[in-house]
Amino acid sequence: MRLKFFLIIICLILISLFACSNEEQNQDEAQRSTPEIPSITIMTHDSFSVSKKVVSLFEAKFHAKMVILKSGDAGEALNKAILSKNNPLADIFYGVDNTFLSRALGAQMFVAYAPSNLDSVDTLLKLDPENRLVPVDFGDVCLNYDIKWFKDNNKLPPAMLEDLIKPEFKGLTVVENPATSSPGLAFLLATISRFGQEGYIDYWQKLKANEVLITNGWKEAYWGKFTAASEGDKPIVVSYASSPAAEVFFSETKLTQAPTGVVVENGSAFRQIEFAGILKGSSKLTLAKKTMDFILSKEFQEDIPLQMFVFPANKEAALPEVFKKHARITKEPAILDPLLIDTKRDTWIREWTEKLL
Amino acid sequence: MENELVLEQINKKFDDGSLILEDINLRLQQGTKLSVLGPSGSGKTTLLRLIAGLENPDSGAILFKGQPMNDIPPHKRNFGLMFQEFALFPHLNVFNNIAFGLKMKGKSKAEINSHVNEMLLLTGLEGFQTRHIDDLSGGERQRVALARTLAPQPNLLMLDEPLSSLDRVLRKRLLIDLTDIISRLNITTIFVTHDHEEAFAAGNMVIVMNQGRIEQKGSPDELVQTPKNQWVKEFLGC
Amino acid sequence: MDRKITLIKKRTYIHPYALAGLVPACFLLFFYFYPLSGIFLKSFFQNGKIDLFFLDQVFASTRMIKIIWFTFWQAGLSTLLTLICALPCAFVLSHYSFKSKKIIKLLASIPFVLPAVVVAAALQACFGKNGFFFGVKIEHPLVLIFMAHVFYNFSIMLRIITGFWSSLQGRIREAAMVLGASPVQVFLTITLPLLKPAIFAASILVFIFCFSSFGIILILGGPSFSTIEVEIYRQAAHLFNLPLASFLSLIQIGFTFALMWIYTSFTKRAARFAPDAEKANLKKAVFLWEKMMIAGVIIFILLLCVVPLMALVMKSLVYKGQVSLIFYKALFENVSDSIFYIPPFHAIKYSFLFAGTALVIAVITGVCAALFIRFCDRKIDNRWTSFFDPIFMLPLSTSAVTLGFGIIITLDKPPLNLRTSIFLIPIAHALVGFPFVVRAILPAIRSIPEHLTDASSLLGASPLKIFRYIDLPLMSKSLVAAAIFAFTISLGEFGATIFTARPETPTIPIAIYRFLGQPGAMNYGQAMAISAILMVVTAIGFVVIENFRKENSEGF
Repeated sequence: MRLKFFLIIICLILISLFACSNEEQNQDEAQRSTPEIPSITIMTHDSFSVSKKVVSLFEAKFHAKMVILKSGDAGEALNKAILSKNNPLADIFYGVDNTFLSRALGAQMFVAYAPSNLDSVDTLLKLDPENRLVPVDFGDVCLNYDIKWFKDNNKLPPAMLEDLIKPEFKGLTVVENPATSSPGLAFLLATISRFGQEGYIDYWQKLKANEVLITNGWKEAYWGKFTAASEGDKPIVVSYASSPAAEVFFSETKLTQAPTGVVVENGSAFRQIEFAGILKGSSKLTLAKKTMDFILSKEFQEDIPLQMFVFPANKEAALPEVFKKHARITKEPAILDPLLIDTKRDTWIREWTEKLL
Repeated sequence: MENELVLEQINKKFDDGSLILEDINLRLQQGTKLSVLGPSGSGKTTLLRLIAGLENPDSGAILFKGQPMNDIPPHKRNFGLMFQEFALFPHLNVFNNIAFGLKMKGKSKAEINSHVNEMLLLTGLEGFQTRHIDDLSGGERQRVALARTLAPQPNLLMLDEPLSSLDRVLRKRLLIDLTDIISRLNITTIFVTHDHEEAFAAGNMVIVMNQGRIEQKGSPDELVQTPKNQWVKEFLGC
Repeated sequence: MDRKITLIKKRTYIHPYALAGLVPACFLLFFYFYPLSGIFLKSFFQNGKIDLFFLDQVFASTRMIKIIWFTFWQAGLSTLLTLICALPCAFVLSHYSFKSKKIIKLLASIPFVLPAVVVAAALQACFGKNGFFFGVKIEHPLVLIFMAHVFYNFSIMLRIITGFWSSLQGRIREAAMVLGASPVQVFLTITLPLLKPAIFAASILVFIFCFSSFGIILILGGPSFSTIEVEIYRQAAHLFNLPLASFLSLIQIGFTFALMWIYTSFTKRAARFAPDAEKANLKKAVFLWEKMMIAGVIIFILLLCVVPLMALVMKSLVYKGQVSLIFYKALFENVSDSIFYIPPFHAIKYSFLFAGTALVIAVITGVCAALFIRFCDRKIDNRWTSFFDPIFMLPLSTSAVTLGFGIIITLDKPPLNLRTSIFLIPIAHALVGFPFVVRAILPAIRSIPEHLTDASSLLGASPLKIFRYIDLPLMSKSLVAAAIFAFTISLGEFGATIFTARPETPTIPIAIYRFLGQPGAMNYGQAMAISAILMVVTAIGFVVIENFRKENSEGF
């Protein structure tokens, strides 16, 4: 008797849930893919951001809805895309950075397409001659420090990588795990470029001895541990050369000077380039191509600095004032042969993880 | 001869207030074989548990050899109780089950050995020492239970429906064995059953219980020839 | 004439119960062995040839060795701590009856049915940054992990040991007392030996749970703490080192299989020693020390099991110092910039949908498996049983992460492309829950006396009718228990889901994980809110179901 009662309840619940979800799916589908309003899905990482204005622009221009699928940090999102490449989760992937380029291209999951504005992009950024992945933005990963903290504590801020292992900088730095974070990986590559493949581990071990803190992601480090942006206690963080501009922009009081400084000289900054591409298997190729055009268009590109605090790839895009004044791009980023990165990246990450965690 | 076991005005109630045992009075001389006869629910088992000390009466006294038993815990009374479902220890083999009471008394290894073997002989279980309890048949288990109860030479032997979990043929056979063993021992024995055939065979004195009260007391012949009331008459089937 | 007769073929009678075995067999074949083979191939074959380079990645790597060692010792210590907490409480619960006993038992059982993610969230709420527990802040990941494990496993250990211990309260104890054993002697010579197998079985079980703990260590551990299970995930999802992930999966399977084998041999011994089930003789507390002991246990259980959950609920209701429903409301919104594809509230709906479906799949498959095993037991040969029984238990010894991982690398291309199927997740969940269902139903089915089925077939009942009118009603209690297991396992499943979930169909554990991984008060609050919802629903469901079952010690 009781069993029957129980079974009936289960069936009722299941039926109602199925009914609900069917209804929902029908509604959503009706909203998204009726002949009048198709939608394009962009798979990206958690740090992606685009202003409502630009999204409305897109929707008005193409009569299509833009759906953003955030899938974890850069490495995670890419891996997810690769693992599901036979049944892609989206139409476009935005956010492959140059350190993972080989992995992304190796999975053979992008459709080659050269967007209309590609000529306006600096040749140095175009790392894929076949245009399966096109550059969309770039920034320099480097150390950021809290100016006020160093003033208050009567200390000199760091000027180069070597400073971090000095005793006066003990316990002041937070970095991100290169296995999970793309700025973390970029920073690791900067150290390899500076100290060489033999010497970098030694540097890191000295860093560890100097009590460096390692977090899983950039957000946790910047918004969780950096003194200038949180209640944390680390005045030095691995972030972007354009982060000071963000600090000025979001500051509640008007600032003339950026509250944070960056360390970009002496080969301590690594240029990170982000790419986007159309996923193979997308059912909306035409719309996807148009979206790629849009991504490289002036409107979208000019939106990037204040949304994601990196530089637009399109040279024609105008930079906002706060960027021009406070964001830095180094003339001499740390250099590593892309081919070398391709072959040794995983080994380096493994070595680093082995010794540091 | 002195009365060995005395029950005076024993009363016990359930939690809801209804009576399990009402005004039980009993005097047993040493060596008596008492059968407690009655239908299920008449309070027979509770009576045994009270005597054993597993439960306490609400009022009344239990005396053994003149000593009040009320404050003495069961493990100090040296009474033997054979449970209806045998309650054999599943993790011990036959030998260790039988030896248990002797171990608790602190007997030496040699004494234990000889006693246990004696018991095995008595109950017809030679060679069963190392057997496991779950490998035994119903009849064998009953005999192990009996051996275990007898081994520590208790002052009083109580058997709670020892044959009820056995089939009819076995029951008849074991009744003979059981009564034979009991009659050879010189201990006061209380045999509880709902079967009057067993009761008459096992005891030289019988009390008939109904709903917590003793209906009649006497020898088997007395009960059959002069049943006190209609109920006893019908219960005995005569 | 004669020849005609001999030419008539004899119809071979295949008992339906034998056919029933095909259901679980196919289920395991497609969704367990096939993905597993995918893992095996991935780890040993690269580009078509055998490639064992990763072997020295594992064995030459001190980090890997450390991870393996950590997996073992944290499981061991967690088990020990749980045992220390559970034994005194089991003692009180199995010996005494007191007024609030039913409620206390219920409260003590709730942590176990909670998903691991919720447990992690609750402990963070309690001891994390904005400490709730009288300002006690615990930041060290290891301490949090151990607390989470104890919190989580306390109830299962308590249940198993209490169940056993209370069934030892009856005649056996009395027999020993009458034979002259003082209470201490009864404990040492009777209770303890009979209890030992149960204690060992419970400990091994908890050890296995802690050994394969995933969600708790992933969320509370941070980057420096990793068990084999977590490492499998990190290697696959972050480092994209699939061969290494596969090989680690094989190692994990090997260890867990060995542990399961030890466990089953202990439960066999424990069952052998279990005295006949009888109503326990529970007494009321009389002396002061007894009363204090009971009070102490009540307080302890409240502290251990209730406080973290209360912290969870409170954290979800407080925004900027005031009580507010803002987090709950936010769950219904879909901000375009959100880390979710659809409003997070849908995760709740999908979780239940999947759980219900998984329940149906797991129960049907499990019942078929149990019937088949019993059929082998009775009608064919015990050797078939000893062959199939462990096979049906295999998914239990395979980590959920491995299952999920195997599924996504094999089931996303023909011949079996289920990647976009809405049934993929319920199937994965059913796979994880299937062994529990079998374990819960098998003892009940086995205990249905053979002569009952014999009698009914002599009375004209076909095997199917026997199933419907005899077997089914007689095992309904454990069927309900099995259904709860399957349902709650699915609701809280995290390891396999984290691989297989598609963005359109998130589940609650995924939502919690995503929220907890983002900084900011809004995200944290929403994580707490959705955890609180799941916790309340699970608890209510559990309470309702518990009322369906009689108070009984169930063999796990």
